[in-house]
Amino acid sequence: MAGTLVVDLEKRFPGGPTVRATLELPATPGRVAVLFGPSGAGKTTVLRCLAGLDRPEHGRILFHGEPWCDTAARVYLPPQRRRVGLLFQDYALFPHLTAEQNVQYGLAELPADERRERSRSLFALLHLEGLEGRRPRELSGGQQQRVALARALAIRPRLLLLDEPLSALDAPSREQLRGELRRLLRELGVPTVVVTHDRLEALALGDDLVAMEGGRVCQVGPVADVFNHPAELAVARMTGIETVLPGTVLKREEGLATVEVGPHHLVALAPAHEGSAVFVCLRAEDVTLGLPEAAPTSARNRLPCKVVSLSHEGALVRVGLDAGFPLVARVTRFSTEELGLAEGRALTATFKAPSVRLVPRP
Amino acid sequence: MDQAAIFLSLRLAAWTTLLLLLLGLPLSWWLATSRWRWKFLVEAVVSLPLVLPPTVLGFYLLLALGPRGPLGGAFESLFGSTLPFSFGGLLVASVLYSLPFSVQPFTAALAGVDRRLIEASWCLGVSRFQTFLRIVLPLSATGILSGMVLTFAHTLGEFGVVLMVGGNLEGRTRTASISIYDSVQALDYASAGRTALVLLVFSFVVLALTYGLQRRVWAPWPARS
Repeated sequence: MAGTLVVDLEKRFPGGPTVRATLELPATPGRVAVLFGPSGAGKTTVLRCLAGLDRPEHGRILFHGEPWCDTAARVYLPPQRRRVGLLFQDYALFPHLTAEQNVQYGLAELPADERRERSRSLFALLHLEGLEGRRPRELSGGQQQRVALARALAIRPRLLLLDEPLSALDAPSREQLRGELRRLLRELGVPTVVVTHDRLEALALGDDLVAMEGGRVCQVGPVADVFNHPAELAVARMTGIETVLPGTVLKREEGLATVEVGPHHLVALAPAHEGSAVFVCLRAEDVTLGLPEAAPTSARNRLPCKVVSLSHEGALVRVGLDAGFPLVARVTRFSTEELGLAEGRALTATFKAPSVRLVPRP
Repeated sequence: MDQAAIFLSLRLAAWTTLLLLLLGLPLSWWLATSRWRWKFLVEAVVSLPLVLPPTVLGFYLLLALGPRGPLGGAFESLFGSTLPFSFGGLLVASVLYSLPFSVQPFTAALAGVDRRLIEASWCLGVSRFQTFLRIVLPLSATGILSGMVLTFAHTLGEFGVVLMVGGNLEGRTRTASISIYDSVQALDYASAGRTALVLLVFSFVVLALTYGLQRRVWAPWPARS
């Protein structure tokens, strides 16, 4: 029980969806869990229930074994007594107070010198020195975010909750702050739950990932596990696997499975689950392109294909292919030139058996 | 000029404004935040004085406040005096008559405060009441001040309800507006004119000051030019 956050709740919205979330997460110092999923998945609802701002109809929330909410036992801790640091999506800074007054807002019960000391160290930690007297509207988006974070940290929270922490920023600051925020969360040593719909943010910030869709939790686990072994199609889609094809497992032997997809037979690692109906998931980064006459390699899967489309994504090029079924590869711009890629070009696509993920198909 | 009547009017307006600030704020906060499905009924009752002829309101008040009415009976047994034709009666009538003039601006102002600011305050460990004082009130000060000024001005100009409930007792219930009516009836245009001018100038100065101050001091953030 110690060191965990247990959530098992049901929250209904009149005339709207119902959110049912069951999850257990390590909540040790500096550990970051990400609630990940498309908008409307119920992520923010779970976060608001954790903060005590929304009250679930049924269920319970245990933090380090302490019940914050237990509808069966009629226990409900109001937000004031949970000591959580909540960072709102648009920061919700108090517009009539200065940055310093915002940070000291929750410290009214401390003596004045301790209050000042605490806010001074937070202004230093978050590189906000010199902005103490500014009003929120006189701060940039990034500065507002840090002031809001300082305000949430000032009360020495037991749990930090961040709602889409980077979404209100412009793209360049987002890039920069993603790394900074990660370092900071490690340093602070407060267990943290982050809500995001951004894949990169989830990868960059999280230790653990909770994949949610349509008001339910699809998968919980360490980030890499969830990204590399999606338990179901919804998770595979969310984590950004470009190629998802229906297939049939023909045989399993020696830990390998042969899967029929369109006109081809692919080799994959044998899935743990029974049943022959599967979705074949393949990441664009895992597909290698070569000339048709290239020598064989260790990759088990070699498919003749034709280029259908090319689109540039920064240093990379996304190549749409037709191999009897649609397939997506992502290669560097340099390779594109070397291979002389153009629409209609015949190629061989290769990928290794372990990069083919099989997800059960209902 | 009827000085006693002007002072009585000012005293009545000040007390009405104060009482409506104390009673109106909790009611407005409830109206701004409650999700009760029958809330619209309360809103309709609060707004009744806007459309009701003052004589209708005055008539019912007279019945309710009289010694045989439910409120008047209780008041008499408690304090040994009756409400109609007294300052207390005038005050009760004014509070009811000016209710929408404070509650409507108050509610609009309180509802305009971003809900997330309130929630942020709760999460920082600050109680609901302290949050109201430290976040909601400062951020809705402009609207609340407007409501108070409207209430004050409306009470100053009250005529029908005051006449029904208070009558026309010199020094006790004769307010400025009744005094003006009286003077005109007695063809004393000079006295009516002076009293009217005092009311006009006073009302204008109060409104001008309020709107002038609102623009600068009370704005939660400096105006964008």
